[in-house]
Amino acid sequence: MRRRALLAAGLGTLLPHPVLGGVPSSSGILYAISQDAAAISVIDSRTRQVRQTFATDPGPARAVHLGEDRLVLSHPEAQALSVLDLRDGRTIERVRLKGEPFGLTVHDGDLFATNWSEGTVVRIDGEALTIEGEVAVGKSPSDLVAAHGQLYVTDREMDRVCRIDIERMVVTGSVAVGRAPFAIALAPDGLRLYVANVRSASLSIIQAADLKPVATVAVGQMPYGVAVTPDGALILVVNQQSGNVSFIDALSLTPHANVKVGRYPEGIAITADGLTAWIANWFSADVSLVSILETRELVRLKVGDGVRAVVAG
Amino acid sequence: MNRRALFAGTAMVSLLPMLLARRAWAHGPTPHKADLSIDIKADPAKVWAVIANFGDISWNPNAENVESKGGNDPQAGADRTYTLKAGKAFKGGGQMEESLDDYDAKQMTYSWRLESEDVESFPVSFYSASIVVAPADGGSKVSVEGRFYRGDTGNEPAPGQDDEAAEAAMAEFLQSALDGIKIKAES
Repeated sequence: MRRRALLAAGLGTLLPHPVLGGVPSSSGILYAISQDAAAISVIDSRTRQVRQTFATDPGPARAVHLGEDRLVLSHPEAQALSVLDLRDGRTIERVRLKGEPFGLTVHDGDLFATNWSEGTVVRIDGEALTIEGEVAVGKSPSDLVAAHGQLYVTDREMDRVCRIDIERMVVTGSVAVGRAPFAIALAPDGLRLYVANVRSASLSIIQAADLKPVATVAVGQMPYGVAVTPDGALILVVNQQSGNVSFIDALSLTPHANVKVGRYPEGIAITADGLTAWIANWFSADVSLVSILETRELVRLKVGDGVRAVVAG
Repeated sequence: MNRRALFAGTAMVSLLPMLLARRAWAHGPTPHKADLSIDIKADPAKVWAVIANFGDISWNPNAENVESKGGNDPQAGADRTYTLKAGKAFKGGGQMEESLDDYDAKQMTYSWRLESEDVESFPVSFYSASIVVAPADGGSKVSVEGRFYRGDTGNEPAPGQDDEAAEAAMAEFLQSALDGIKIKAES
């Protein structure tokens, strides 16, 4: 890895044991990432209040936990990733990445980012923060999840999901989904992938092990976010153009509710207790707290402009 | 930092063919907001009647040669195509194809999106928008909300295809549309 050797200058910092990206913790803390405001709102799910706001580098789009106290942010326009210390909100590391880093996940201590403009997925050492590998997947890869030593990447402009073998960093397969797949979630048992297709207003359900399509379910207009409850029973899909969240029964794959949220919603995170979901409303610059049991919005909190993602604490 | 500079240099050389091949299809990761409204001295029902038919945009001063299909039914593939007339912030001359996403006559609102772009004519690679008519001060207020991306979504957008160009084009396009609705509804 020549790049690794060239880049190994002074970025190494000891990190706490990293956790899997996207796994909700029990802290009840949520982070809302506002791209235009360059801010992170720290939200307490229990008091339903914004506890604190941290300033970040310009244009954060997505975030993932890298260990308990660190949050990695992607900055597509700035061609960089930044690492925030969640204890005081300081930016403690920066990683330059040619292109437009966007979707993020963490697996086995390593960090992975989709590179929107270069059509690749980049592997970054979670401790040294050095670039270890890059693999071409297609056009405009937007989101990714990791399971069984594999990455599953939405290849938005190729209308497919690509599978990458993490060990070798090679693409080992792909599956056609709907038009413009943007967001992807993994069932808690790791068996199924849920893919939100923006332009065909549908959710593709894919068997992770062999990339076999299971079903396609109609959702609202322009689905931009997807999440699964911790028990795997419900899939929540955020429909940006319809301004609501579709609740889909994971067993029967039938929609059973639609909950109206704020304007132009995008990202979603489900709290660890599985009782509530937070949704980032990009246009109205607020986050909606939705009761999953009651299928209704409980509260809407003002956050920074251009909020696109929420991450469980 | 020499090592990093060296890395950036080699990476740029190897990625150059991809940069040159970039096209407008990949509307990039930073969306922009459109948020406009206009007060109209006319009953909401009268204002709604002006815009209620998705395929009829005779009120829009920037649209000509309008063709439509599917009526007001998103499930039926409601869609309108028109030639964009030149404005101050856009050259025009290209085709705009817009499709209907949601339609609610009771709430006097619908939402639509740009289906296929022509960034030379209009320097925006994608937009989605919604319009709503509401009662206000004995008359009406028409509001438009939208989300859009600049024409060139690369990191170094070409002149005329950057954020400023997209903001200016979108603002003028939507403002003249609202003005058009006002003129027709108040006449």
